[in-house]
Amino acid sequence: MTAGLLIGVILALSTGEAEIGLLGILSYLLDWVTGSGNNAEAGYTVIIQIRFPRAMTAMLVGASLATSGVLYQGLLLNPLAEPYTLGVATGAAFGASMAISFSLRPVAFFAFAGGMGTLAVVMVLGMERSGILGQTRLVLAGVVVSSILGAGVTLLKVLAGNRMTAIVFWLLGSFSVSTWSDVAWAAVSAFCVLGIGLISHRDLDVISSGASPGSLGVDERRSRALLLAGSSLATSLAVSISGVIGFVGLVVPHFLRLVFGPSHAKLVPMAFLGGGFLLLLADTAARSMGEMPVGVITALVGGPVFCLLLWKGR
Amino acid sequence: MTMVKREEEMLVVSDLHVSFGERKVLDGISFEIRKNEICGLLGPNGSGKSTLLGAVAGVGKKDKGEVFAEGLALSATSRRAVARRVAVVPQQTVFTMPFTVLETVLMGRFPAVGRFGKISADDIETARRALKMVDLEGFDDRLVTELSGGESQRVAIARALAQETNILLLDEPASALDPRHALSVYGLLREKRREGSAILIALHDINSALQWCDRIFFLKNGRLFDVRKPEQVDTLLLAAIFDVSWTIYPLPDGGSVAFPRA
Repeated sequence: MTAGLLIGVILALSTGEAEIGLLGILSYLLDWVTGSGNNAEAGYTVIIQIRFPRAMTAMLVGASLATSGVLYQGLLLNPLAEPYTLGVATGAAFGASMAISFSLRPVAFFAFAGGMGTLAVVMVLGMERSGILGQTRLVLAGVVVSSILGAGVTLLKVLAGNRMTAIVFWLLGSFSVSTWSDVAWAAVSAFCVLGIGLISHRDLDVISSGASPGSLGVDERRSRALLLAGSSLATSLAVSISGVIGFVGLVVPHFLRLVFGPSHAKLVPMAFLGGGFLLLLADTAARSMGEMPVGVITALVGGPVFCLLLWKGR
Repeated sequence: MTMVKREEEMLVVSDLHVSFGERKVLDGISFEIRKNEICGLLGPNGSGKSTLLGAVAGVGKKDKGEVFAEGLALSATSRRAVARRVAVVPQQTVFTMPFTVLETVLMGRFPAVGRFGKISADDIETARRALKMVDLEGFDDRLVTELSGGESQRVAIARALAQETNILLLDEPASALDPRHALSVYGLLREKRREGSAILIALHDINSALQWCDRIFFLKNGRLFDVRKPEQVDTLLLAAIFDVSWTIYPLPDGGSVAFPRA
């Protein structure tokens, strides 16, 4: 998987209008690492300031979404759960649509705030009297809050006039303007959810197995809250960086569970690498098709793959 | 940390109260279970058996009172430390993710190995021994989602046995088992008792309680109505608990069987 990622990065760096060969790429990377790069040189700028941060951002966002998907599916005992099930993405979309409509900046901040605000509401609605976040209540709360915010996004689109195109493009998701600052935030998102997933892999095994977690030593209230907060924080950050990119968080965990089994010790790191690999390839494909929104590619490829998995899994 | 006085009292339940809204489900339950003892928990539907078992395990709701497991107050003890002392077999076992049987039973070792500890060859050996005890030898790589109801119940029992605790709580452990496996599970509990365990079993079947338990706790309307040894159980008590008439027949080997009568 790691080798695949390296090949994916090379492929991503060599794809684009400016043709730069493998040796050129490696020499620019070496210059960058040693601090001897020259920003005035066009090739260096293309590789180090445009393609490399874009590839890294795509990879880290993919890793965040797929790892969050694993955590959500385990936590909610629901193979159809994904990072957007609890309304975090719709909340982020609402925040971003508000920001675009009313010229508030930075859009990413409002998207993130929208995502986290939605999560807070869903967690309050999803909490049982015992203080435990019940999976059915959470999903119901997520669906309802998503519907309300979805209607809000539609309303904003209608009222946005000539800004509607900007909202639609944001919602489709893209890495076309990724910078090194995006890489940093995407890294926070990806490594935060990876860390929480690895720390909690045994809790996740117990919770997802259907056992009563408490009787096997899991502090259910604390563990569920940590997993939910971690994966939702990562999802909110990922969406605020790249927009709403679907199917990575649903298909990658499903596929990897078929290959590696449901044990989270393997599933969490493999989803991190697999999600990164998939979104990097999807973004490279999107670029080579004249800047198609990457969300379209993941949905067009991920949707049929998911149907196939569903069919085969009968 | 509060300690109880007598060492042989493995499990002490003291003045337990649980309410759901206005409804009192458990109303001041107190009892103790000693080493080398199997106790049954009997009562009509809705008498609070499963709620009591959950509260005693430290995983269910508890409004007032305390449970001491091997001298430790559960409310002051971490979940992991409790799970190293008390194992629970739930009434129903529904497996949601396709873990293998061995992976599932190994989850019983998690409280002992902790968050980052490595699952050792000894842990795997313990899990395999537990599987052998419930007659699931060779099932290691089968997926739990493809097992029958009875096999799933035996996996849940094996997972609890793999916890290697001195206190076992079981909610209808033989409800999905055929007679041979039911007998084998009760035989296994006898063996655990001989080794020093304290065991509490919630049951519907009075005859299983008469046959396998040392003492029977009778619950009614959230209160501990009576505690009897099997030989002390009579038709008057059963009629008072279940609101139907009973006949008790003695058995040639000294035990007895009870039947409700229309």
